[in-house]
Amino acid sequence: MSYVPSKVLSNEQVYGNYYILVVRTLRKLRKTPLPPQFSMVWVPGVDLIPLSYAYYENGLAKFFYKVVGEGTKSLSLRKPGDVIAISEPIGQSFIEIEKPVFLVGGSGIAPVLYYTKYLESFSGIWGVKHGELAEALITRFPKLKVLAVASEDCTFGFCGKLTDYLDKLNLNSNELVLVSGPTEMVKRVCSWLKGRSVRSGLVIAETLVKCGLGVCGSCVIGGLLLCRDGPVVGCEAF
Amino acid sequence: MIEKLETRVAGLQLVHPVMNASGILGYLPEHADLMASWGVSAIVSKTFTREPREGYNPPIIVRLRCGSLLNAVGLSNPGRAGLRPFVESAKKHGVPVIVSVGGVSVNDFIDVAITAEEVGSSAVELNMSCPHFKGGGLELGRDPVAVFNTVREVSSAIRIPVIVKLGLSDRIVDASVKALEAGARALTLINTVRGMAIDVHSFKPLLTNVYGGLSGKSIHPIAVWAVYSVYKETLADIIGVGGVFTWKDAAELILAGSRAIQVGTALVYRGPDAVRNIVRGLNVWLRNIGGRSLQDLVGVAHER
Repeated sequence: MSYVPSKVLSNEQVYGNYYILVVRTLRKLRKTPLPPQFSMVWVPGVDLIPLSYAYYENGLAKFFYKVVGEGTKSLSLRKPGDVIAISEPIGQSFIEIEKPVFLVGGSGIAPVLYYTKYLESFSGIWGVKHGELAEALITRFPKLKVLAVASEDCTFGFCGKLTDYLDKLNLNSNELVLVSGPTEMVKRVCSWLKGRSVRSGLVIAETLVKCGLGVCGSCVIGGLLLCRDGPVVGCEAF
Repeated sequence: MIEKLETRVAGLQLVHPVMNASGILGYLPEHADLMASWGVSAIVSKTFTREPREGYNPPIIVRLRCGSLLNAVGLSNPGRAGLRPFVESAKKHGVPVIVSVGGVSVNDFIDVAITAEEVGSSAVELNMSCPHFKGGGLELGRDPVAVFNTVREVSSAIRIPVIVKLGLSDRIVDASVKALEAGARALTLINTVRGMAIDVHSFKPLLTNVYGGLSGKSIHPIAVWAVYSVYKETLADIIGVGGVFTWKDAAELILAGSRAIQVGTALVYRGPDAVRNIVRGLNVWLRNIGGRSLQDLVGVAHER
């Protein structure tokens, strides 16, 4: 990737291991990112991390991320004023859609945050382990309110897992369902969708993205390269 | 007219001269389908080593100015156990499948080459020139004696053609001569050239591995020189590679002495149609110069 140097404006812990990074690019991106595109975020000398856009406007970019390893840990330690770098947006945008139903697990909410800027209307369920995460993000992205929340610790919304509430969804056959979350959750939701007559079940997929250029082949999924053709793929890839 | 583009290299009959360069995808069965969709005349795998390799941490590939890439992927690959699934998937597409083979010791090369032959590969390309593979890359390929020993052992262990991929060094002609003496049927020239880039905002090297291999437009004239120099000395079958973006770049390498061409970085900058566009351009070129066949133009730049 060629990187666009970017200054950290804030890097706030939202809840537990979840953070929101806000950066200002030091030059304009050639292409404006659209949901659910992502960028490779370079922590100089440490790692390169694929992160979905939670927001972008005129060089101001927000990323919602979870600390899972050394790279994201190091990213979480970047302070306002530090310089990191981001790649041009990667993948295909997918916004010509109406009233999608989001079925989201945990940090799979990241690309949905940016969708709230572009979609007039949407619905769905977001399953979280801890209700506090949902509370904290809804405060920052109020449009998320339209999503039902299922919390495993029973502190917010429904009590239980997202998959416990799927059967309560009233899906009609015209509905476009967008699934986003950890692989195991996506698999379960996709196999549940198989028996339903929805217009299409699509996934905002996550794979191991190493180069972001279509060269290294590590992000291959369902015969496609996620970094070039994704991140939206059909449920059949899972 | 397309038959004028036919070529033969290392005993492999190709419908046109343009194959992919090793290192663009090429180690999983799903990759083979994507590679075939580019319209290549042979599918060249990523370098396989005896054991699986993780590769380096990202950034592993960065875009540079002037249509170039800098990479230090670290030869990540599933090891020789991954050869059968990849080769079987690639063979479905009806073009020769060339397996790139890497290693440090002679036995590494032999083991992977034997597996490649067993699973049905059309030829092997010994990668003796990776600029960031300690002990097994350029260090090996720049030493004519080591090249001779490795190529001789591999050539006597398998029946399929052995191609040797060499990189830029002050011994490139000597190493080429030794590879051919040892039984190489063709040479692939050149690999990426060692290089480095530093981010001026964070003061850090861009690649996690610090240095890596430069490919793309910046190395094209080096490739032309290397092919020209080796062809002049050996008249060998050469597969020319280095910064081929357009038919003109390919034509230059053919006139310098290449019988086939590999394309890598252009697939990133020009997208999946890069190969078809080059082939189409070569076809128009042949027609414009009086319907000569490509084979007649190999090394013509040497004529005085």
